[in-house]
Amino acid sequence: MNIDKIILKIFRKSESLEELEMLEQWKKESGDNLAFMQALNLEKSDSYKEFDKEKAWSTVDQKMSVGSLSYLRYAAMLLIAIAAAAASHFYSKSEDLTFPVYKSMDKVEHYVLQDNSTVWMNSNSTIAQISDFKKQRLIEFSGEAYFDVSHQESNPFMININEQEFVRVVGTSFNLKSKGNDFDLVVYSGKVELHSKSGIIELEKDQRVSRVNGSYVKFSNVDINTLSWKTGELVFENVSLEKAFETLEDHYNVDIDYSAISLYNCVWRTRISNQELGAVLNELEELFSMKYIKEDNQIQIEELHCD
Amino acid sequence: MYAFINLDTVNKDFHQVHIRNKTEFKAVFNQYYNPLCNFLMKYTNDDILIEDIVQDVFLGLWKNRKDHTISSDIKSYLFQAVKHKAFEHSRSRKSYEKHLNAFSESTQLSADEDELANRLLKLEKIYQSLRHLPPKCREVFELHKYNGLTYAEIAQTLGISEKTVEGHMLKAIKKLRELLAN
Repeated sequence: MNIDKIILKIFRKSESLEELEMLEQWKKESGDNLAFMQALNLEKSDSYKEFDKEKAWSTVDQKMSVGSLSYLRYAAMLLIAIAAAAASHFYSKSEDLTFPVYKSMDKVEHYVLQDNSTVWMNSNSTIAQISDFKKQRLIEFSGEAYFDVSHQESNPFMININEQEFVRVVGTSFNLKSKGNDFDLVVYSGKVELHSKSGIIELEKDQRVSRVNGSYVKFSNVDINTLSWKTGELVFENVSLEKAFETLEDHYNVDIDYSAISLYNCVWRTRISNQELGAVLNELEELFSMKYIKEDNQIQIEELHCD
Repeated sequence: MYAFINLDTVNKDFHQVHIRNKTEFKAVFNQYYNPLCNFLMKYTNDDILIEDIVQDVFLGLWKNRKDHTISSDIKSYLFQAVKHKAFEHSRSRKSYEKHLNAFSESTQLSADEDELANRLLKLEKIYQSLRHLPPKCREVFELHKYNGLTYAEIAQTLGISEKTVEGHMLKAIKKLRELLAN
């Protein structure tokens, strides 16, 4: 039996018991079906009410053009208008006053910027575009991100670190961690310039610069796990457990306390691909007869044996 | 040299949607205005207050339209914003006791609230679909559904046979279900 015909019969109040049952069955099949019956007022709904949308729109429309601008923005618009000295450009210019802001909350996000550069942002990171990207590509940045910057020789891509210092590239890929006093930059392709207060530091593929005690230190990047936050993959090639624990602490955001045992002569060779911490700890239990207590983000290692 | 913005303080209340122009903004407005108002009916019966809050939320959305953060989830953004504003209102009015339990405490939507939001969006879609019925079909359908006329009365009013009325009704139901499936 066709459901439309059953509904029609119900309208006429001439349905049979069997048809009513079929309708009940159909309603249970999906929320859409139920909503459909509710809209037809054949089902008790939360009394859906239609507000005057047209009137509401004209109110919003009016406020959109006036009420939403702050005095500061008015001032900025005025300045730009004077600078542009061309009334016809006024509106398009004022449009451009707000540039996109990209944000990752509690997970890794992937964005394509206006210039086709791609960015993978680790959790809790923010990118704010602060120029129109036409003559120079300027951004503010906080957090950790892997940048793959599109090559535009005459349109440099610049990331402000603070009032005086910035990173400048024309087309390259690199991982940047910059938040408060933390600074760490690893280059994967092309060239990167770090314009610091004490001069320009140039970096090429596999080179790295970190801020240590307030000054920049440049070295070769031997850490293959820098991008583990993005790839989910950790590789330990006969790495000391001490170093491995440090990496695990970063990657899983936990504290590992091994003060109760000795890690002398302990090396580990493994590849971890998108695994939960529990699985990693299991592997350690098997390999090193490890015993541990885990409480929230605290892991206390009580026993561990290396042959 | 370059103006420095402290990113930890910038855009704390920013939420992102892909709205490139007014046309796209109006499309979002049309789709969400009624569901959001109906969502707030859980909180108050004051229609003026309801519409004020929802219009405010839309103005905020327009202002922040270039933030890319929550591009995939405009629904959560709008319903959460409306809920948040209702909380703010109840605090400012100190009307704790009356609507204290209208919404869950969290800024996020609870499962129930999310379900209600989805249901309201579906209902809106159905009401909008009604407007897309062929004119005759719609007339018959509305006379029956909203004016409560019987088939015989409709047939008499419109000067058509009862069989034709029934035909229109069947077509209306079919068409509505089609529109909703898309």
